[in-house]
Amino acid sequence: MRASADAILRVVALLAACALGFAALDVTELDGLPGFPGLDAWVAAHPDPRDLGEQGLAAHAAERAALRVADVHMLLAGLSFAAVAWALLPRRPLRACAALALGSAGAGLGTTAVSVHVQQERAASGAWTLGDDALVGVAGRSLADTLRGWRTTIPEDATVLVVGTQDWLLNPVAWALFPRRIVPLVVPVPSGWSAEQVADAAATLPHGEGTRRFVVDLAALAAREAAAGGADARDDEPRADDAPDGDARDAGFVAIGADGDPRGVRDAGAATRPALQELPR
Amino acid sequence: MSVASGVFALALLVATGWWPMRAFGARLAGDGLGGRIGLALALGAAATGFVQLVLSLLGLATGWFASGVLAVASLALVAARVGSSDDGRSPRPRAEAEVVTRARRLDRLVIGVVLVVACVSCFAGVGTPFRADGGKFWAPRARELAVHPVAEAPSLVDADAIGFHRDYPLLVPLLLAPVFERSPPDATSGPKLVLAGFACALLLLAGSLLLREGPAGRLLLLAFGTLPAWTSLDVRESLVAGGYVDVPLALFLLVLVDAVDRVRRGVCCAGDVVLAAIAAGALVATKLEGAAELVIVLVAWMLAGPRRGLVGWIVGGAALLAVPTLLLRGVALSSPPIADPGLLLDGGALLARSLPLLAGLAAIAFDASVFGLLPLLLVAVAWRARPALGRFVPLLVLGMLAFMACVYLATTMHLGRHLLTSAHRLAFHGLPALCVLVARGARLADEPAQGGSEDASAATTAEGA
Repeated sequence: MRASADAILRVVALLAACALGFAALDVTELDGLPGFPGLDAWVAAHPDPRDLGEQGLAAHAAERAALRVADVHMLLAGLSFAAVAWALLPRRPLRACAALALGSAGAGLGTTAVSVHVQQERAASGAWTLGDDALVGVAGRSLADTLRGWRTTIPEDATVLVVGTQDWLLNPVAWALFPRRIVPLVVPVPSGWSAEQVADAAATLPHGEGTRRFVVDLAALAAREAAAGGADARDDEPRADDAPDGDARDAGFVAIGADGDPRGVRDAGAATRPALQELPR
Repeated sequence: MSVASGVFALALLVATGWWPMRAFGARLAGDGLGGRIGLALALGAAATGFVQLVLSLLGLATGWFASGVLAVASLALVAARVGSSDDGRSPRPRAEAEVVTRARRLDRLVIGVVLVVACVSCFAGVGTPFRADGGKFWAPRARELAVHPVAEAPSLVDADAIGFHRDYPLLVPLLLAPVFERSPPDATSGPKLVLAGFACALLLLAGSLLLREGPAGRLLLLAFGTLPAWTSLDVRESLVAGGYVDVPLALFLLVLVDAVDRVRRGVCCAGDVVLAAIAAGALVATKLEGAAELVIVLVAWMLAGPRRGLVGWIVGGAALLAVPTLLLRGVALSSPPIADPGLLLDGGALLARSLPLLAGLAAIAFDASVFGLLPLLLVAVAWRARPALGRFVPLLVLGMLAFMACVYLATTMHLGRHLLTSAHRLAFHGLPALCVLVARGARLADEPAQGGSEDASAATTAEGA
């Protein structure tokens, strides 16, 4: 009687494994999954003290929804492996725990196989390397070429003012231009500004006076990258200390109608501006 | 070139830690070479980091000299057999060895699987450059410290120059700095290899500890060693790809918690107290969260007991080792705070963040793309182990959860973004230590009639008292 009950349970476990496996495959077809019931309504009714703005909130929600797909896919796949393991394992005290461990290992080994594949792909594109030049991995190929060129232009004792809110470009720029003094001014460049306006406004800033000074326009750099189809080296971690610089605000970088546009490139003028200019002494 | 520098740096760290490992941690490291290398790397990193920080505060740029001298001194002490009368090896009787043959085969199978994952994890870490916070301040700071002492590093003392989280501790960047010094300008593989070495050390030490805890330990090792986060290349999910320092923190926390657990159970020697103090100092010197996690461990111990009198020695040792890090805060410019305690008293903020926080923390347990099914397995094993867990483990878990809740309720960032970008790494800090404690509890609960339960009964009796 007990043996037959166990056999039935094993069959049920195998059927559950099949159902979970199919569900795991189905989930990957989705663009996103909703969060906890009622959570979105709660967030809408009680906004976070640190507002992301409408655009930022929408991007965040979309990102969360997509990540939930990956999480649920892995959870269902792991549980499917665990159900198969439970059906096949002998009756022992730690049977359920062993099934969970094997399910977890199945999910982990699946990720390992994917990782090997992605590493191979990135190695082919130059973004993965054990060698001594990782700039393509840091910045993407087209941006890496641009930054290498800038290193020959900008002397190591110069000061580099960086304007624009495309902070996903700030890290690669700072990395490539080390050990030059990088002064980040996380302020939007007003839409439609010309190269001369950017240079004139930057020249009034006090940072790095007495040294050769250059200004990097991240909005223009983003426009060039978008035109070149460059790799998206975006960095999704917002900084806690990204308040606009007071001096830059005084210089006119934050103008009425200026659009902090950290992801897209909607400023038509940016495409025509040079991304790097030397400032007059 | 950079990879070779990374290999050399790791070799120096292991050599530096070999003498302290033999002198203080032979019992913790166990019989196997893996556990010994893992613990030696942790202790070598702590010792080297402390010395490098002191030298940097004294005005020297970080180079190889200190690492080399420490490694030579450690090997000389090993050769002279100073303080290594007990090498910790416990030869197993022949009859017992035959009985455990099947278990040994399973152990080897699990070790083989974990080694495959660890190998891929190393390549995932070493082959990809620093990303996100790794590229924003951990690696740039290490590059600076190879050129400047801390008092002259632009990102620490120049208010205009790029520099994030200027008040973060510097132990890990100081270990990476010599590798950057010997690497070409665009190379990241050597420094990333050092971080991958920490991941391997954590797997080796956790594996060594878990395999001593019987079947439950083996299962937890299998799940922990194959976490998707080890090989994932997504920065949010990966323990290695971004170049963060959470894995070294988890390694030091594991050493601290295991040493404290031995002290509590009365199966310790003086070396465990020394180990705990070193690991506690290293926690404070690695990340801001490390200090909070140290407090959580010690408070849990104070509340659960027994042998509370030894807490003072660990606090004293940790405070001594934390002096350079505290001095560093006087040198570096302050950063905008990452948490505003006022928000903990703001009813509106608490209301707005309460439900998203609960949902976010609950979701971590089911984020299988990061932790696999390990959280579920931990709960299942802990349920079996509950008679032997006592109060220490629940208090530890509650402390960690309360800390996470406070961090996110008071964050100056948007809660959802902060959870998304850091909650998994924060939760990971205590995961290896929790696995070891739960596996140990399961073994002790399953072996009530054997000598192995003596320490559990001693601890629970003393807790009751």
